[in-house]
Amino acid sequence: MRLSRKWRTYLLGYLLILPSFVFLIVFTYYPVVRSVWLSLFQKMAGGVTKFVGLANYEYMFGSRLFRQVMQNNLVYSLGSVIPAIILGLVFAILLNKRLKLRGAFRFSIFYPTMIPIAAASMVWIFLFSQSYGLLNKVLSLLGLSSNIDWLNTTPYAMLSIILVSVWKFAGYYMLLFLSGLQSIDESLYEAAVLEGANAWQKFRKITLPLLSPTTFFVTLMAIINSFQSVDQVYVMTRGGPYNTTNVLLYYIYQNGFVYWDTGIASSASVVLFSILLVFTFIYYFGLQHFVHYER
Amino acid sequence: MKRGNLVSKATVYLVLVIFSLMILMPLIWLTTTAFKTKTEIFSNPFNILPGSPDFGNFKNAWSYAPFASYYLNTIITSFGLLAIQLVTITMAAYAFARLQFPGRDFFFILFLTQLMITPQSTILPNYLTISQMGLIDTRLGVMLPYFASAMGTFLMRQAFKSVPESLEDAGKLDGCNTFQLIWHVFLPIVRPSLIAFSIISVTYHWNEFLWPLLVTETSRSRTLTVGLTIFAQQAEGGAEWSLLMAATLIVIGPLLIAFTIFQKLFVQSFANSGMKG
Repeated sequence: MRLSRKWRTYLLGYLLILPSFVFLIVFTYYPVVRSVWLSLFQKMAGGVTKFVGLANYEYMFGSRLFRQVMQNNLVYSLGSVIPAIILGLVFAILLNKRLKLRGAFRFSIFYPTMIPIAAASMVWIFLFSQSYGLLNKVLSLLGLSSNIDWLNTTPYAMLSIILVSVWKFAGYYMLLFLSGLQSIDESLYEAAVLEGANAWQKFRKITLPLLSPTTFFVTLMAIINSFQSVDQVYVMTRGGPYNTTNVLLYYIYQNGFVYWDTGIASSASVVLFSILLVFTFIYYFGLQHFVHYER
Repeated sequence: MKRGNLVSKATVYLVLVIFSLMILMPLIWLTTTAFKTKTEIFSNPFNILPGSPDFGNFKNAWSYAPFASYYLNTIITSFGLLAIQLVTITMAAYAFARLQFPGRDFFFILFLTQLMITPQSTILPNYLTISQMGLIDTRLGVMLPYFASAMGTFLMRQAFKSVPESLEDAGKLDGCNTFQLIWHVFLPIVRPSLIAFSIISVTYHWNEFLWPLLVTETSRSRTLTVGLTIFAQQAEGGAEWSLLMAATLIVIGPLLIAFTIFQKLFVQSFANSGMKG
């Protein structure tokens, strides 16, 4: 029996996507379902699990710690996303010109993207160190208070985490902005110069509007990033002091792998999925908007 | 006019130099500290350059912890994973770009959901799965959740779509079957995309931390980033900074060197990794 050509193509298509699809089912879709399922159970003494309905969520949303964690994540997200994007945009605009040493500047700004944040955090611990860290030395040179225990006091611990994140991500956003800038038609600027526009007007009336799809895309990506960068928290503060740097993903890690409370860790994972889902939808609808906008 | 230009150019350079130095500072500090002796660090912290470069820290760091195994594990997991990903994404991307079959668009959107459900958000259920498979503390366990890549499939699909129909027809006339067609006609054309994906994938997995931290337990499977934090916990206290910085340099060195040499290629790859349809 010979399959017709059409059916052979169908079969080939399914066969080619099959390997990827199997791995997606096992390690992407099934984990979501399993998280939802596990969030409905509670581990009891003796390794028995009991169905508790939504009790885990009730407990979690009622707990002061979880509210603090969500608040921390909000502070962390806003605090790291906004400066990283602004810096990325500024660097991109500056580097979009013909400059000497352009490659060297780009290297200096972009290299943090290339190195593991867990390893970079090690260096930062050293820089933040109270008695012999570079940061306090510089502050004392500037005549500012210089005896800060950066990683062990509030609000400096969160500030340190944010600083490291901005350092890590600004260069990457710069790169994305640079490729956005390069797609802007040069003749628009030439026309603006003929009309007597100054640099600010050119930025305000040409660069910013035409860059808005890129800005939107980078912002959404940065927000989504901010819910999943936890390496520096693990290495630098372990969520401390007093949980002031404990963010959602770290909370999941803590409950899942330190306290082995699968129910709470799964409930928190479901919260994380929901947040990611919301931002993905915003991204999707924004994309539609920009597609029309460009026409 | 001329003078205004000069001033604004000087401002641009000044801003760039200041920020570049600030961002470079951790790297400078890391490198110079790694070559200092213990006493040098505390005697004069502002003395950036060490008196005479001391390689002892590297030798000691290398012998205090099994960095050779960490290296081997990291190379095997990141490059082994890449090899498998290249096969899975090429197959899927070809199907999505060049074949007609029922449900194709539905499956493609389903693939893309992986971009949203990130590996970090599924650490707990994936740990349970890997543990049920008996793969805790194995390199395979570190790699397995990443075998399928929506991002890679997406990048390759874009690339395959740009291959002209006429080339495909010519290949078919020469009697190529699908796999020969992909190998001899498509892959040579989309090489830039393959390289871009490879750079991003290897960088990501060389640098990855949380997942290998959870799945690995001994130097049998531990990767460099995890090994480094374990090493740091053992080298407790301020006295071991030069040793720790040497170890950090051992971990980030290869990528940093590769990035320095192939800066353009890395920059292009990462610039295209942002997916804008």
